[in-house]
Amino acid sequence: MTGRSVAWPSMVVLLGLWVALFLAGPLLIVLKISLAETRLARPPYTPLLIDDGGGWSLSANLANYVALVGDGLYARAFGQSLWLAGISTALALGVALPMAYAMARAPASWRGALLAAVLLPFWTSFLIRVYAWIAILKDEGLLNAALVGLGLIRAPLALLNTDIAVVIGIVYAYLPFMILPLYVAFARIPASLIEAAADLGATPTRSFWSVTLPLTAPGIAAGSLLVFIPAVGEAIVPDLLGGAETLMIGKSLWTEFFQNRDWPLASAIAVLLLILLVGPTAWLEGREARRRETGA
Amino acid sequence: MTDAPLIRIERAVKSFGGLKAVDDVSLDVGAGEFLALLGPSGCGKTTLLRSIAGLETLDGGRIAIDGRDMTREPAYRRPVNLMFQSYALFPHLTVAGNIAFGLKQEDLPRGEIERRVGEALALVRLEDKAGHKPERLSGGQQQRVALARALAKRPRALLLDEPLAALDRKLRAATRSELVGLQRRLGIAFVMVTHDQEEALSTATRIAVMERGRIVQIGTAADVYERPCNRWVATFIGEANVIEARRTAEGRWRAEALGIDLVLAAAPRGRAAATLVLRPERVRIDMAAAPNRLDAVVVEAAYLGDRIALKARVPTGAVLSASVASADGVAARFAVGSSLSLGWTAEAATVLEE
Repeated sequence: MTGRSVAWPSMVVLLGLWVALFLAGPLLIVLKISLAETRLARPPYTPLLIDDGGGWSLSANLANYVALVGDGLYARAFGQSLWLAGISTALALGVALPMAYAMARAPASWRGALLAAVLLPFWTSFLIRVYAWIAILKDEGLLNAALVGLGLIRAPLALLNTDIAVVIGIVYAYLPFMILPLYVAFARIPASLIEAAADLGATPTRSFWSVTLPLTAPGIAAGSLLVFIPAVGEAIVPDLLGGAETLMIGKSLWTEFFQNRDWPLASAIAVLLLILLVGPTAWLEGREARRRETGA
Repeated sequence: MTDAPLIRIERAVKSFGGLKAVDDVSLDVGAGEFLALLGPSGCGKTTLLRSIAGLETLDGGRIAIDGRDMTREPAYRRPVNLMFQSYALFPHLTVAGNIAFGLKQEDLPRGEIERRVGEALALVRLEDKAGHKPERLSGGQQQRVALARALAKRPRALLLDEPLAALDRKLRAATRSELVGLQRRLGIAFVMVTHDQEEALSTATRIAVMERGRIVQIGTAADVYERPCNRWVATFIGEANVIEARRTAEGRWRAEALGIDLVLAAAPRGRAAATLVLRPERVRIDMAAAPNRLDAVVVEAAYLGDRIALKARVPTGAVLSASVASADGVAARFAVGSSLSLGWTAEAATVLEE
């Protein structure tokens, strides 16, 4: 027990340092930049404190935020990001549920291999994997060739450079983040509960809907957040697979940052995105925690 | 069909990886009977119970319930319910939700479900806990919810897997008599798995003693205790002094280990040797006119409150167990090292049929 009491405070300090250095610090810098104005210099934004000879003065304004809210384009980009991320999350859930369930119900000797298979794509670059989808989805790509070859369609479907391609790309890229928490949730359900459901007269289907799925709810929530949050800010997938009309906020951010070199505006987008995502998530978490405490 | 058994098991076999958990078991359970499957852990009693419930599929043999062959029927189509050792309450449902679960599967009308949930709650006196989640209940309350949930289905037979194992001693005794009362009142068959011989003796109308996947003896509590069929049953159920005897040329029964000739009420016929079981409580201390009598010295005295468990060495060096009811001065009288005489009647020792 002595070991733990010594280790405990140092762990907290380490964790605090980590958060301060790699989370709070960078966030504050982004927040600072979002309050500046762009300029042609290095760095390409005005400093927060300006020495105007007689002393220091604070130079901060909300012009970037006003611009973001005022410009319908960004509002639409935010909206479409939430929409596409939402659809992708729902689809990923639909695909991951049976996969995770099958993994959890597989013989114990298989589970390691199945888990490895789910994680295998991470061994290749994200960029390369998204690129590969171009070869699959383009007009003369693998998918269209297969569909035409099978006689299911006559002319190739226009998939690449559409929102459909973006959704496919996001579902593919983030599927493991959905599968893993679901797998853990399924695996954690005691076998006796499923047996009890059967003993009480529930067919396998009804047992799944009334016992297995409700007990998987925390896994569904975790997986959905793990997919939805990065999907909203996703930049690479819409850039490579999306079309000209695909507006996603991550792509806008990328464009402002690297093409227009408008760091303050890009930072303002990042801050708004963060508020948009953290707010509801924190609220949901708080509600879940209260629910668990009261046990109601 | 009136005298057909409620549950009929014929030559049931179930193996796990080459190991026979249930090995050629045949058993009938009558309607309204309280049957205990008693045996040490790993004897196959739980596997047999789960096979009746349909949670295990037999490798061989048949199971019929109510005259209908159920061998291949899945658990959800069998008219019996199991109370799990872990209770297996659904953590996401309230107490009432847990009890209603099985009734919802029958697609009963809502009013009927509510009525029967209420009945079941009243049966286990948990009306005030209907809206609680299982995790907020004590172990004893959870046990009663599991019981109510199984009984709400009005099963033809209730299967209980070590129902009292998770309760503390005091609660166990109370719940035990509650189970017996409930079984009599409802008139349905109870099949209970237990490793606790006292539990089996005090509840069941019939006890099936299992060892290594087989039923070695089946009978009333008095049958298996007083007339065990072999040495294993004799020593598994209760304490026993096992005495080997040999018939002498003069026709007497000689117990070489004790150095005496035994006086037996019912001497085995046509055999040259016999094994006898003498229960410790049948051994009398300082009984003047005992037909079987030995001097002995106390080597161990365990004070158990209501009685004292003695181990006493006889002149040949053999050690016999005896049990003496507590009374004034008894503890001092039977201190280690004190001398006494052990005696038993001609009827006290049972001859094993092996």
